[in-house]
Amino acid sequence: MSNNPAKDQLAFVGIGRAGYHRDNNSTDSLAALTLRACQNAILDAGLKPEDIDGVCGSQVNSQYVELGLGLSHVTWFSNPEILIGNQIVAARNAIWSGAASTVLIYHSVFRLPFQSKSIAADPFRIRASKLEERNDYRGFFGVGHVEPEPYGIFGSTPYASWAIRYLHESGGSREDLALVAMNAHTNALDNPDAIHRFPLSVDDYMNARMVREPFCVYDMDVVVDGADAFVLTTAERAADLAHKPVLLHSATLGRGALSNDTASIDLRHTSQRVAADQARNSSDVWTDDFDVLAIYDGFSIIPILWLENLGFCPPGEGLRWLADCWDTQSQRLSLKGRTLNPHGGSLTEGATQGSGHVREAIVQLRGTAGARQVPDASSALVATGGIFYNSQVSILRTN
Amino acid sequence: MTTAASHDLEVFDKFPEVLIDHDNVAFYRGLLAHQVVLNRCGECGHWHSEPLRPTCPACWSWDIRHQAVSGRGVIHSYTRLHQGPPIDGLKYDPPVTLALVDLEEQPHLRVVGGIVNQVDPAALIGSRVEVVWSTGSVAPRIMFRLIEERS
Repeated sequence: MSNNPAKDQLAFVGIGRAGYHRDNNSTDSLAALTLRACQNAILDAGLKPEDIDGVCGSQVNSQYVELGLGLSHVTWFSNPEILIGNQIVAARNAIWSGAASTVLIYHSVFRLPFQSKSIAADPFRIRASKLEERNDYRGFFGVGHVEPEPYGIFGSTPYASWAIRYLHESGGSREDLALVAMNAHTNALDNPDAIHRFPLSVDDYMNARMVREPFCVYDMDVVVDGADAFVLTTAERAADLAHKPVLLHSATLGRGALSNDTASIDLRHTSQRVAADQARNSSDVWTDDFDVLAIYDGFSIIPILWLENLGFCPPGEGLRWLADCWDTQSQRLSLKGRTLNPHGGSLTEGATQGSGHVREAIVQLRGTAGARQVPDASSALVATGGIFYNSQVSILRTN
Repeated sequence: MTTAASHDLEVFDKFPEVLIDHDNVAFYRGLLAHQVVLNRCGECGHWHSEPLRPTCPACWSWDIRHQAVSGRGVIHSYTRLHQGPPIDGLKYDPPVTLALVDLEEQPHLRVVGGIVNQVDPAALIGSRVEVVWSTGSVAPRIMFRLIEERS
């Protein structure tokens, strides 16, 4: 058991969301979505702006958010890289160290011309993409030593390439891979926020438009405009607030050797492995205990490798295990009685790089998930991030 | 190496989309000369590819040599793009094959390149390839052709 002194000492007390839409007539900017989600999270917690003394988000600058919300006494702020686990770990560390007591966490997404043909001509989005170009999104590790598609492998293409490798090594087929998307579509039927709310058959999947082999359109998450925000504070403070506190039991990050996605040694040496091992060593609950499994599915291959690295099944057997877990009657995966991503995940709810998974875990543990509520849910596993360089695990539970 | 693009600004001009710095300019200069130039440690001999670093990750030597590889290797995996940016008039029909290639110089020394052959995709992983160069582009890009299918 590794040292995890902050275990169960902090709690999520507020959640807020904005957007999660594909409305091409919307005038919501990335900043507007962010501020609305942040307001909603603070209001949800029953707090006031003056209660927030820490601000931690992704692309939108924390100072902008402070100015937008009129915050006047902030003692800690940070803008870690995406994905949401980075913000959670940073906020956890800040509160536990005493740098702040109540931290606003946010992540937002805004469709850019390269992601969606339907908005490619929007002059505001073309302008917004200039910021991305300055950041050189092609090189997530910061130096842009990555060639543009179709000459380089970055963004989506490494996941496709490694999915091909996975199928090659495991002997699996695209019919097997289809189960991830089919499960997501069944679960989304019970999520009013989901973009894709229609059932998906294996025939639908096999006949769908191929994008990057082995990925068809249903293997890739649905790009949206949207934002999620969360308020994290001490468990002590949480006890006096509006909602049932959702305790942060463990939060880990991982990065292994050769973690950039083209160079990874193989599928057994991944950053997922590091984050999962750290989570196992810092948690009192593990795979058989969780009531809720919220596992990032930006591409269909990602949750399969997460399930292997978290120890739900042996390495290389994830796809076979999913086939064993498929419940034909409900058209869902039943992973020892639990579905994968009750909200449908990024494949159907919308692509917010894992913040939607964190929200789902909190909603389920509060018991307010409506038609998709997992009965008596008291612990949730949230695995966010991809395979190679941004793998993260958060474990949440209630008392 | 040819003198065709010995000046850094010429390299910048040929690769306007790439963030070129002192740590990777040799790679791009190599492309213009139809050579795959990677980094090799002058002290321990360790090769490295992306990201091209100014120091050796194996021994921390700063004696980094920019050296051309043989261009031969084995396909580790691939994807086939059915859509993408319309660069060089590409129609993606048939799909464009992009591969991760393990070079023969060192285990897991990997570069990315297109595959020029139209072959059964099932034969790609494990097949031996050698580098060729794209034509029609403003600047040469790394491509590979199969020299021996996986048996």
